[in-house]
Amino acid sequence: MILIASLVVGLLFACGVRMVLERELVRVACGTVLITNSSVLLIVAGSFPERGEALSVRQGWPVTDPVLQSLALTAIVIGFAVSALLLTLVHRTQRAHGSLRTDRLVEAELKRVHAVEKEEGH
Amino acid sequence: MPILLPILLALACAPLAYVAGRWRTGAAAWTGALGALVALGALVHEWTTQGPSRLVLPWAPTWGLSLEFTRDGLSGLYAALALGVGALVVLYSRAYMPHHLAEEGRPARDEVRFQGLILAFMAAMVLLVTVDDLLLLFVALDLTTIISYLLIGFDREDPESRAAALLSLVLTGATSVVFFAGAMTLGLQYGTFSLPLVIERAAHDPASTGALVCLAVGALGKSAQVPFHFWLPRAMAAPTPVSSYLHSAAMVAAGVFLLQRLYPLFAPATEVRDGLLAIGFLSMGMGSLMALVADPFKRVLAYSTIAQYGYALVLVALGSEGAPLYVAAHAPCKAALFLTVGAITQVTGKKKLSEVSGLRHSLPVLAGASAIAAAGLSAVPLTEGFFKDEVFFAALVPKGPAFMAAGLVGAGMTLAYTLRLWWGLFGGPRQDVPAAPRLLVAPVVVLAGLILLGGLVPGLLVEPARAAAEAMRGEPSTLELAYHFDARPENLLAVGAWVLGALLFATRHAWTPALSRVLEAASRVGAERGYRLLLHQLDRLSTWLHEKEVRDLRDRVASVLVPTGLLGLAVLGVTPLRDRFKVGPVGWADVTLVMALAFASAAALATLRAKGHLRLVLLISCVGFSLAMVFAFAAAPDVALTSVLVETTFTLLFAGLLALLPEDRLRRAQEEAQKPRGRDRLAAGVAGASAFLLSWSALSHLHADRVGTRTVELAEIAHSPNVVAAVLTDFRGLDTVGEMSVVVAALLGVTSLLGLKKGRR
Repeated sequence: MILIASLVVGLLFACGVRMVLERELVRVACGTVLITNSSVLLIVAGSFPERGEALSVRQGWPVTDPVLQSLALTAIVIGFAVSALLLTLVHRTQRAHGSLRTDRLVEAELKRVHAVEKEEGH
Repeated sequence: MPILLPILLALACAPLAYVAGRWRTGAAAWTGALGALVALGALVHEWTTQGPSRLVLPWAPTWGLSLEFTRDGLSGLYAALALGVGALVVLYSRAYMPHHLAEEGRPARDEVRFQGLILAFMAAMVLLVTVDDLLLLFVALDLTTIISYLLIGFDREDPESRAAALLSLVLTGATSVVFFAGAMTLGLQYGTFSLPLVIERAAHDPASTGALVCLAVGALGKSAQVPFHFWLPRAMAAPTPVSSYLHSAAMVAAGVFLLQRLYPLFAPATEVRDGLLAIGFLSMGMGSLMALVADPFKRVLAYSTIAQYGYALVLVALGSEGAPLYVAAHAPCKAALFLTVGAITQVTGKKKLSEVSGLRHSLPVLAGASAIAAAGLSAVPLTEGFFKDEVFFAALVPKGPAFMAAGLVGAGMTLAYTLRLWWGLFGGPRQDVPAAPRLLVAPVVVLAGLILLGGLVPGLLVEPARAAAEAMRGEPSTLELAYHFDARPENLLAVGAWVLGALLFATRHAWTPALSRVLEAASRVGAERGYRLLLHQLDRLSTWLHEKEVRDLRDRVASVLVPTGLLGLAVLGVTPLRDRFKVGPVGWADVTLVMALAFASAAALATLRAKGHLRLVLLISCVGFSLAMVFAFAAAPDVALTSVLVETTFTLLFAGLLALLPEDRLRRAQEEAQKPRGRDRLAAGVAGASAFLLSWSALSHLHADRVGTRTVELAEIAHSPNVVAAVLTDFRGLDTVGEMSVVVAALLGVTSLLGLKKGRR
């Protein structure tokens, strides 16, 4: 079970990285979502060996580790907030630069930097 | 506590002067000078009535840190120097600054700021010489560096002045960081930063050469010694009172002071001391030669300062007991000469020797007082300067003829450039200029009087010089200062130096042009050029890196992820663990879990090949929902519920966003994105493998004793049947607050970004 869980963690992470390294912003955002998912899974996987109850605990019964659960909750919520912000930024970037491709954005940024430098030079 | 009184008084000067200056601009100088004199009085009174003492205030006892102050000969001598010269310079500035500010086109009330800075510098200097702890030494050293930056760059409209300030900040700041490294090494080696303890422990276990070299570099940078000397002539762009204070009695003295304070550590390290000796002679020679040909008067004095601190460095390196005396005797002479040239610049508006002459007729008092200061600098008898050369020669005589010859030439050149400076200002054909304000001349006269007093009654100097030498070397000093009318080597060397100096001065027109050509050629390959080259190359490197970084976002991300992944793998490789990887049992109860995990994996793999954006969104949410299923089967209902909620919201949000983006652009972007590069696959592989192996290793070694079991017991006390809720709200409440703030900040960002009108950026 340990092996399977960690394999899935690694797989999700690798897929996430692959997408983050792509050239288009929407897919980059999706990649970060996958990476977030893989880390949440890793946290919860810590409680796989001793699954039990979380509510109305009775003495002597197995209990799912509550600390890991709350950590996972925090991670999920924060991951959601950050992904939402990221998607909005993608939207804004598209409106500002008219492109979703990272290389186009880089060109625009370099052009701006050079313009500023030229201005300072004068 | 009385040991702190002079420090506290010195610290109070700047704020008091500032408050007084707010009331009336002129009052700042008088208040500041009075405060400095009161502090000096307190210092002298306590020294004479109580003698040496130490004060230790605990600061962070668990870390073995404390604030330690000392009152010994060394700190007394340097503090008196800083306070005395400081008071005179502040008074001088009262007359100097209004004119200077008017020339710069700045309001007269800026004088208050200037006086405040000078007084703050004085306080930092007093602090530096009084502390007895390596860390505090560094702090005080950096305080002087920062204030000197503000002072040198006081004419902030002047690019030259700003550049000079930056140069001195970079050089003295960088070298003081090296000093800090040395101090830390010593602290780790001896387990304490307290200086007396370090010195005591170093007696059995000598300090490492590396640490000593670091400490020495910090001191050399401060004292403007080769190869860090070039900041000092540039710093002459500062207003003259700054030069006369920082560059005679205070800032440059700090470096040599550090070496004297730390001398017991250097004493057994003969090779480090030999290096310092060589640097001292080199600075002496270079400074003197440059002073012989420089044309602007402040530059002559700056090069002379480099040379004179070279002497002091030689004395420290030789372990001479005259080292503190040398600095103390040099400072008033140099300060007086700086004040003289400042006064001349103010009344004539000229800054170069070739532009003035014959001022003795218009400025007789200044000419007389500065003649005494010049005599002191070039070690003429009946001035205190005579004794500085006497101790210098006395230290050289036992080392043999080569050292004696070097000292003779150095002293000869000192006389030659001092004569050249004084004669260039006051001798030659008459020029008539308006009389100088009294307040500009008075400090020079006071200093000249002190120089004469020290020369006529050398007994006054003996006591402080001996106390300082004793503090430096840790053994009683037998220093004698007196005139001897016999043919001892010191006297012969002094006479030889005068003859050489007079000869050099008399024949100056013959060799000056050739020497200046040689020095100009040499300056092309000097340390300053190296510094410029280094800065230029660093600048280019930074531009190159920036362009590289901006050019490709993907490389930027990969350059973080791949090395991190490799680091993770390396960690696994080097840490030995028994049974690193456990496969773990898979029972029938796990089948549902495995199926859900397989579903998530398949969805994740499919996202890589997803054609349209909508399909991508659905696959991503598929991954999320499968994981929610995993959490449910893993008996974590809270996580599963939250996950479902979040995934639903997220899918809707994503779909809404897709509706906002233009469709053709999406399609085009999608087509182009389908061409992954080989190295992206490699990066993903490395990152994924590292994540997999690290999580496998981590999950294989879960600690049997969980925090969770304790939390379950505590949840009952918290009256919460839901342990997770208890953890979130009670035990880790602060985390939840942090989480909330992240969510709120992110949502605010989302709403404000979506609310922006098109075209506004």
